[in-house]
Amino acid sequence: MSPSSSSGRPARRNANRRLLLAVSSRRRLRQRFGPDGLDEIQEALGSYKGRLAKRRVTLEVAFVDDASSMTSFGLKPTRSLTAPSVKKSVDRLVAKLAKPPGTSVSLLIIGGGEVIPYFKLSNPTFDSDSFVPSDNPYGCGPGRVSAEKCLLPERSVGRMPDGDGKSLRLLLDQINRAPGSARAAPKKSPALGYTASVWRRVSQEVWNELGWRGRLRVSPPLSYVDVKASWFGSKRFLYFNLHGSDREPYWFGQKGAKFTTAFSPANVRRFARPGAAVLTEACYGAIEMKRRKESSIALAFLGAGSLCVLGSTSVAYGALVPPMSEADLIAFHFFRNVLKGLSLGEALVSARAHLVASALSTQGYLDEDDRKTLLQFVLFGDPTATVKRGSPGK
Amino acid sequence: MPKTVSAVPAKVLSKIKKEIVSRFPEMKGVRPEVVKRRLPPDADLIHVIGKIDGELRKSLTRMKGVRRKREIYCASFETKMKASRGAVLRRIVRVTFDGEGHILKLVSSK
Repeated sequence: MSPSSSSGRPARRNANRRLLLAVSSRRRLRQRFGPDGLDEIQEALGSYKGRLAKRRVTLEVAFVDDASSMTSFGLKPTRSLTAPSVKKSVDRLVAKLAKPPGTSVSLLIIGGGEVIPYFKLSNPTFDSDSFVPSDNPYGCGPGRVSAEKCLLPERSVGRMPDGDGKSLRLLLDQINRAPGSARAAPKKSPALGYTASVWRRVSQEVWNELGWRGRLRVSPPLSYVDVKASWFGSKRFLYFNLHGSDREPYWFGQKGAKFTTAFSPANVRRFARPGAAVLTEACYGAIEMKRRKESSIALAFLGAGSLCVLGSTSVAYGALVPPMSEADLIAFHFFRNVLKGLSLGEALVSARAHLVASALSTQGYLDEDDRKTLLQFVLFGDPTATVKRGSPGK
Repeated sequence: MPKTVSAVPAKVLSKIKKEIVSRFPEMKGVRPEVVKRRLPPDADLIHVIGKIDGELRKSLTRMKGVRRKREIYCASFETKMKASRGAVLRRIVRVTFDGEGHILKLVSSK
């Protein structure tokens, strides 16, 4: 349940050397933030390197389109910044860095999809999404770039998005607030759960199976005007099972044919506290390109200092009633893995594997909806970050 | 977009439509896209799972191939719904069923 090692076998969590490879494009960061902004980003990454060292994680930074940066790894820069060309650079970097036995490499992409592009994978479900934006191929071995080959990445991948590229602060805040050490989860009521009424039963199943106490918030009757600071408190896990849209900044509740605006970016800016691991099952919950904190709940959480946001880049699916399926399973296994002490990236890698296992054991096969779910969830945040054990989870 | 698969008996499809409309009245009048489930081999996936979690692979090796022989179809019902503040949301319900019209799985878009 951890990133691949040089040997091709699974790297264990007690790998001798844990390495975080941060990749970005010097040219695109300079275009978006200017030379001074680029300097600030590099300075922030330098400072982060020192903080990560306390967790015994080594940070290596590579600008894949920059000759001086890539030469320091004994590699040539990439000329084009397409997803496949960036992946080739990443694969070569990983091959170099993972040479010492017992080295596990995780990947952190600095910038959103307009800096380092998402792969546009074919959509297995033939729904209204023309493709599925995904970071999965970056977590797979060389040559694995198609949807069918990238369902289960073995390498942990995270991303720090910069939205529409007009707010340097958003990116700097993510780097500067990224934890140097594990965040402790409170033992009592460590989580907030907010669900659409229509999915109340299945959300309750996720909640109960995780051993979380307290009641789920349900919309309707609740709406964005009912959200309060007390919902968040010192909670370390925020679980949302609401509707999302590629055209709206809000998440929505549903009961019957009634849809209610349940949650807004302003709710986050006003009430959210730093340090939470956020997961949303919403369609387009992780949409970030050409968005700002004001128009994306995911970016609002990152701007507020959340440890991570895990969400979908496209139309997501889940069960109407128990048992859990698709996005519900990703949610359950991700949180369960984090509670067990896995890093955020490892927790997602393992959650996908458990989704496959569940589908195979209950259906006997992996269907198109399952396949799309495996491709569409992206992690925003440092994939090596962890939450300390001690919270009541199974 | 895939076209409706004619191999699904009309009687079966009609039964499925009725069932969906009874559960989701908003899908009344929606013409579903129906496709035969494509089920690529899962052996590669089980191999990758082995790299991620050896124990999980062991438990799966015993299960693979179960119930793969049946003819399985998926009907996708898609419509748009109005939310508060004038927002318009896509609503997709996908139902997996067999040749006899037994519903095997029902999921909705988030």
